[in-house]
Amino acid sequence: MRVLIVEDETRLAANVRKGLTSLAGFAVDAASDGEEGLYLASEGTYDAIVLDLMLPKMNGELLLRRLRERKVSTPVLVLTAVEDKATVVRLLEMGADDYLAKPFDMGELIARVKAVIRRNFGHAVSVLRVDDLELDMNRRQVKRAGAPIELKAMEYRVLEYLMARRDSVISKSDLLEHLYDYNWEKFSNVIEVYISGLRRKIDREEMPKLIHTVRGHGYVIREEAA
Amino acid sequence: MRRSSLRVRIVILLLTAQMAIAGCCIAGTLWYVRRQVRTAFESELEGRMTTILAQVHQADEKAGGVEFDGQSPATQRSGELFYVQAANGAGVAGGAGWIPDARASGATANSFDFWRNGTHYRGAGWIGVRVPDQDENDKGPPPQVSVFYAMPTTAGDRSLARATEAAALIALLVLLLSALAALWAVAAGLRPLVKLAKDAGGIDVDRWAFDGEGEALRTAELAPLASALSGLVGRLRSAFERERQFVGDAAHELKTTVAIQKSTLQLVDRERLSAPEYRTGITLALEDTARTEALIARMLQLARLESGEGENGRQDAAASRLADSLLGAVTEFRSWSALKENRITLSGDFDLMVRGEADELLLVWRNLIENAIQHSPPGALVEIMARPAASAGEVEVLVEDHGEGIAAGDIPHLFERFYRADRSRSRVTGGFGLGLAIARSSVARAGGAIEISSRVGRGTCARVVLKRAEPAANEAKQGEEMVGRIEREFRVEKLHRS
Repeated sequence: MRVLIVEDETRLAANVRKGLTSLAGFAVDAASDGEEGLYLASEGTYDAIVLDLMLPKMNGELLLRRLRERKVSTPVLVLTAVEDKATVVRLLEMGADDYLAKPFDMGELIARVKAVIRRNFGHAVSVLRVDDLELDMNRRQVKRAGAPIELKAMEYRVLEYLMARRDSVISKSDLLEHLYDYNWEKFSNVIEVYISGLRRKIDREEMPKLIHTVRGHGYVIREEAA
Repeated sequence: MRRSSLRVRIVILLLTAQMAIAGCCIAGTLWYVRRQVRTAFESELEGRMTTILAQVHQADEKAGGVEFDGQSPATQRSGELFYVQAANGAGVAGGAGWIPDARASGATANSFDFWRNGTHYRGAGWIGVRVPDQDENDKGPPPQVSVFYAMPTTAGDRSLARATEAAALIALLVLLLSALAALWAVAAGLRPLVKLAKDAGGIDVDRWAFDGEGEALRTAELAPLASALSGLVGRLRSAFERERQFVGDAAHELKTTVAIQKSTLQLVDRERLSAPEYRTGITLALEDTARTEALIARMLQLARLESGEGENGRQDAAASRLADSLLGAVTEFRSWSALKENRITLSGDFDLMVRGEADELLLVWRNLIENAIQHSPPGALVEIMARPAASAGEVEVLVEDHGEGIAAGDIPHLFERFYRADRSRSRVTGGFGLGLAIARSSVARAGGAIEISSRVGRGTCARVVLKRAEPAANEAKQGEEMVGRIEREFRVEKLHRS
């Protein structure tokens, strides 16, 4: 998952980035003003945006309106010190997905970011399932047929993204975009390594295959058609 | 406390005036009526006396008197009295008992008043009048007689009393009507005032609206009050909005710094870290705490300066030597400017005495120099110049940098609290957007002025104008020493004395 933080307070942005990276395993980009934030967000490659309201150049509210005008539907979590309910209601009506008041709890922020992401993919609970494969987004644990599976951090990220978008074919560049921050181009040939690692651990010989390669298009995770 | 009613007071005043007028009218009327009644009475009396005189002429003379056919004179009515006296003092007709002696002796012919049997009488007398048509040879009544006649005044008194009653009744009725009219008129007249009071009562901290201007402004007496109120409400509203904005901004800044601290600590708390990583985390948390502390200190500083803004430009503001505050601030930035290779040059006369506390002016220079260094590229000069201003009795200090400059759109907002022209940049350098607000408040307290001019790409110049103060003799010497010490210590460019 890849998240954008739009926050002018560099220390706070750094802390949120660190929290989302090390505690949630997300790829994180940061923008320090409204214009940069809108530019990055408009690319549409983020799974969630954490947006501060008081920003230089363009405030968060305007950024959100512009973003929705451009038909970018990325979930947005607003982060601000403004606490009056009218503002909150206005923001939600304008297309924000959630709201968190400063000073916030890091654990709560991560949980809420995860929640808006999985909701956006159409999952009501944080345990994603494909056949007998289970992925718990909160605990970052993976089980197949009840048996825990140990994954490397990047393997987990790949699997999490594939499972969040189960049944959809996901291209290699799509995967790269959502797993790395803006430096993703240099990792272009590692995806195959992670996919083969995942296959070895998840799709053992005796089990039905879940991860499929669609030639020329990418990868998809789904139950084998009967 | 008992309240006095304006309405009642006005009505009482009106009624008192009206009662005085009514009293005068009644008195005048009565005086006139009384005179008329009296004149009528006296002419009737004269008529009676003429009749008696005529009857004396007609009457048969008897020994010692005149007989009216054995009867009283035809004109005489009951209760009326008369007496006719011959020139020799002998009574001719009627009885003399009712006539006071003084009158009978003929001392006066005027009318006179007296009481008889409980009735008030007025009488008159003609002394020694000729009996008309008297023949010299006639053996009739004597040729000259005195006639006295008196009538009760009851009828005249009664009509006077009736006139009095009527006048009083009319006056009372008019007074009553005018009191009602006055009450109504005063109430109607005071309506704009009542409405104004009601509208003024509607002003509240949550509702800074004063809509009573309309009617009150059209009323000459209320217009000054209404416009004063409306102006006051406007000023209070903007003051309140400024305060609200400040509180909102301050809350935002405080919450943000707390959010940083909290997130830093939570990261340390949640991750499994090695000892050096913990150390780093704690160092970061301490840095964040220091930042929060600095923010609070600045906010308090600003609040303290602004709380005394009422004393703006007070004439008795303490005087201080420019060198004391300015060179002190320059010294503070020595190491930072050295690190950035920004040389600070000083020129002009720092020996000038200016109005303002040294420690408050220090805040001005500190903030201006900090901004100048912050926005200077490495190696650029920061120039400080002090000189007497063009207008007499003032001193100007210029702090100039050769940095990136400030966009014209930002310049009007520079002195607003928490305003940052480039927030993301200021964050890196640790600014809160309070420095210039603090500088302005300090300058204002010293009765001076501050302005900033800038050209993008060329640099920014802050100009502070302060009022000049006369140095005390013994302080001048200390100042010299101070300047010399700073010059040596700071190795500034040789100060060019003007």
